Amino acid sequence: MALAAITLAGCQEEIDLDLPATQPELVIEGYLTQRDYYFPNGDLDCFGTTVPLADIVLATQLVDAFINIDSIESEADYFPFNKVQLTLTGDYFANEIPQTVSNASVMLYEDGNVVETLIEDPNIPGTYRITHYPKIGSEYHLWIQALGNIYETERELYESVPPLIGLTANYGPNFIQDSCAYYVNIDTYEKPGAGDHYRWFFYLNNEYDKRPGFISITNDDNFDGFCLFGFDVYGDELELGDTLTAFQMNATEGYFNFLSSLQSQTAFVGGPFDSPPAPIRGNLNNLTTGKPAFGYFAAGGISANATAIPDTIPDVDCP
Amino acid sequence: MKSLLSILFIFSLILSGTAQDKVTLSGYVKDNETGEGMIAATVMVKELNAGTVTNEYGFYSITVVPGTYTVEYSFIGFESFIETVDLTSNVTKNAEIGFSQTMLDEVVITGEREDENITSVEMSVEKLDIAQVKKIPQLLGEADIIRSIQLLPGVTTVGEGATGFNVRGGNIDQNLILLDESPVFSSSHLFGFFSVFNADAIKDAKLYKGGIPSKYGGRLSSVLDIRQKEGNQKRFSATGGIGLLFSRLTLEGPIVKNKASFIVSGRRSYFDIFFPFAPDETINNSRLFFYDLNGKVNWTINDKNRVFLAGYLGDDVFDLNGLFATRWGNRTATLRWNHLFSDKLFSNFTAIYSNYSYALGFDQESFGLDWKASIENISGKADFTYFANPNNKIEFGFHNTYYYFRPGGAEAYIESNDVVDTFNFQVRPIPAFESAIYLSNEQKIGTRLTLAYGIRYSGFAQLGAGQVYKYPNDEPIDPEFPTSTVSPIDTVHYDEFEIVKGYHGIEPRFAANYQLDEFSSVKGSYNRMRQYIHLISNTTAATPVDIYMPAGEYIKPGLVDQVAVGYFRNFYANTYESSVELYYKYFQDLVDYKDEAELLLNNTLETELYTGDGQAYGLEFQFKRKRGKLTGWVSYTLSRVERFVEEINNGDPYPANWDKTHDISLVASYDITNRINVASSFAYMTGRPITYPEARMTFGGVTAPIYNNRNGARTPAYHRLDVAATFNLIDPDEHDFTIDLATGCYNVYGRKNPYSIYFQQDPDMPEITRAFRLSIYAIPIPYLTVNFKF
Repeated sequence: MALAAITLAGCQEEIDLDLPATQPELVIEGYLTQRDYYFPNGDLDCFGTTVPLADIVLATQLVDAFINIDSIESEADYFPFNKVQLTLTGDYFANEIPQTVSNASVMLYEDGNVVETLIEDPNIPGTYRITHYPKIGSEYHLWIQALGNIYETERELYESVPPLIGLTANYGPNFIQDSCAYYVNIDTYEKPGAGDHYRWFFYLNNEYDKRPGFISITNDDNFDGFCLFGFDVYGDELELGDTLTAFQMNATEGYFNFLSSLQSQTAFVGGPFDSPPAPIRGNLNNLTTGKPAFGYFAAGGISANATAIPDTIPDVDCP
Repeated sequence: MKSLLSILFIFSLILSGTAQDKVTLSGYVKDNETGEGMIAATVMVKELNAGTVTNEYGFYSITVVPGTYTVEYSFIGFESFIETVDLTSNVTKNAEIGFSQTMLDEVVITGEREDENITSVEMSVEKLDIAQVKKIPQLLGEADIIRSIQLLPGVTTVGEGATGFNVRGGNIDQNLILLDESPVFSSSHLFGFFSVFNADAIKDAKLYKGGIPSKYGGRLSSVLDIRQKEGNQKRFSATGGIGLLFSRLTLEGPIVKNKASFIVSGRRSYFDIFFPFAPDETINNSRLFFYDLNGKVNWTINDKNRVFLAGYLGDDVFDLNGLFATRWGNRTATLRWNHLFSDKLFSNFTAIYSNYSYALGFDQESFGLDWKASIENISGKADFTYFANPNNKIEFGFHNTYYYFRPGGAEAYIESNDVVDTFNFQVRPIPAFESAIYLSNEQKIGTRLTLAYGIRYSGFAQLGAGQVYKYPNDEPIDPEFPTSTVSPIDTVHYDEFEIVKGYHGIEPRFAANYQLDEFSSVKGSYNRMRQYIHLISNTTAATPVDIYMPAGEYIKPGLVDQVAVGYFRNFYANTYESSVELYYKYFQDLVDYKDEAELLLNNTLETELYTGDGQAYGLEFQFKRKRGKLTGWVSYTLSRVERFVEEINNGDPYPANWDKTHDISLVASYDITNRINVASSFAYMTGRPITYPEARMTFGGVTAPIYNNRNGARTPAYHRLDVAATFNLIDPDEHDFTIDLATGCYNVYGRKNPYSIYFQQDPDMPEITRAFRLSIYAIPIPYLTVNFKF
């Protein structure tokens, strides 16, 4: 550590670089989601403890009654579900909010057939709303005409998601165990069969947590079919009185890889064990030029839950 | 096979030409101070103007017609020993030579004869003298062979903090690093800050960049052959140094005088002794250190038999209070038996054990992970040198190595609601077997031309037991969608030691030296090398915990062809040496990683790797002053290293991470008196290739860079100035022990050389994006060390 102090301290600094200007290209961010849940065929085996299916269904119904997604949309600063947002790439050091792309023609396809022509929200330029209710097991993609080019996303398989039965605040040691704080764990379960992927969105006091280090995703490589009660997916400390709302989305492998790449190229960079720079490959292609465009159109079921952090600290032993 | 028979026929002609009535003078040349065999000492028969040099064990043999001759034993920096020898029959003559009193004030650059660079058929070879290495300014004053090598032409590094070294466009895994003939897989401590070789325990180090002799194989780009000291056979001695952050001690002496000796050398850092004083509990409980332990015993049984047992043990340990921990280390053991079958036939039988293990992990209250990987190998080899006559030296032998690769396994636990779940995941361990035979001859034709030609035939087999995945069309990479992940469609089971996949091939070697006059020569060389194991890395710079994978069903062995030509010229009675070399290398079947490749704990690693070719070419210039109060060298390398991988950069060539167009080094050492020395070195390199963003996009509130051109830009240039001074506190003429005070400064003007340049959004305002430079050793780092020897 002494050596590390000698070598690294004060040696990380911002520099000026000249990067050439580039032609803007289309970026898509779109989500086709509904509350489509996966329930087990019978009671859930939670490491020797049986959780009756009826209890799971009841808990899900209570949560759904408690969580009003529409109210979250109206209050949150960012709410991407059932929308397609089109923006442009910019020069790396442009340092301005990305330009939106209006007046595009955007069509939603279900299993290869057009099911909806998306209408641009008059109040949010560049945002096109989806009203179509997806079917589990169907494939969806978008066809877009914009900027004088034709674009198409790759097909996304729409599948259900397990319900987010619980969202619990626990008081305990933090990651490096030198103090205590409130942390949130989720109660859910994983669909049997390998190859499932999940993403969680978090809203802290109705503000979307957009820090790249907190993009929360997982696959089921080590959890296939597991009961995930007390599962840790949000690592940050919470303050007294905070409210946290979480969305759990079923992700395709392509979307999972895209987010994984997005996170590694933005949050984990520069260190000796970090991956070198690499393209973040999405699922939008520019059919006119034959080159990939950017961003991702994702489809998958979604579940939600929320919790409030108490106003007091419990009387527990802490390091 | 036809070419092999032709070569054998040529060798038989050489041997038949030696069947005359001749006598052989043979023996060992030793240092009279320590009794150690001297490598590359010259034995000259003056009347015939013919001679030879001693081998790695100090043995020589020269066959001449009977007569009385004046034989001179010499070694630069040592007093020559001249003796008249009556050679009417075979004679064994061991000679001991000592330091020249008239040359004590001079600095020895190499241990070779003065004009070795002109007369030897070897080219693209750098011989490091440990005394000189100790005078080069070094980080924290620690004499470092690997860092010294990086100041030589044709040798580069990705940058400060990068492990290993790159030779003529090769990756770090393309260097065969031998410590007493045992392979060392990671040559670095602390991610490249220090090498694993304790200079006090090292006798000789030689780097082959090209024209690699047939007896070496298994790597594409270089051989670094390091020999440990054997131990003083005459008296007990101790050498050591006490520094601010680490210390070292070497003990050596006779077990049976002039018969058997030992050497034990240890070094340990203690960066972490200050940790308990830190206010942060995390730091208090952290550990950061490395250590080395070298040992060697040798026993001269009689004039025909000698046995050596050597070992090395070294580890790096970094544990940040369980938050993150990593550990890696080499273990090697070598047992050698030198046997003289006759005065002309020298043999060396070697048994080797080597293990390189490395680990990562963390250990928290609610979850933990312990990831481990290793390479273990056991080798047996036999090497023979037949000193046919003064004009022909034939070497032949065979090597066999059994490998056991553990590409990674992890044990993890998660505790939730007082229930602990454990997970165990192992990537299939891979046994493998590598074998090689070789035959070569160094032949003098007339007084000007020397040839070295030979052939090596190597083979490699990946073995069971285990499952090997099958893919559609036997292709783990989909040619139409190369960035997609191909899933296995089947598995094939192989029984224990059943061959999964085998490779083999011939590796021709050739070198020629035409001496233009006493002080100049032109040389040329060609070699083909095969490498059956690959280092798989996708980090900013290779790290000691990257994965080694053997060639197999889907990963082919690498292959390189290298040609080099050079002109060598000495001036002022060999006081100055100069050389210019041109080289070209073409690599086949190199592996490179996919973007965002998942390399850890991946049983289908082949789906994350692309295969491609590469080329490297360059010009190397070096000018040395070998003798006098002022010694040193200036070297310049102009080079290019490119890779061609169809799936990367649309198949367009892209520079390798270690491509440095210009590389300049200046090293100077000046003896102010016989007790005070000052030295300095300066290094300049073109910045390393790096990928810069072409644009940016915003997704989910995250502003992300858009990269499209791997290694399409370069970091700013690297340069650094170091200075050093050594003061001998005890007059060496009056005492038989020495105490030196070594002081200096690394990176004198605090150049902020980039380790990496990366791009990030502002945490509070994502629409603001910035570029950052991470520099290592960006400030002047002084040092003070006390060295002693008695």
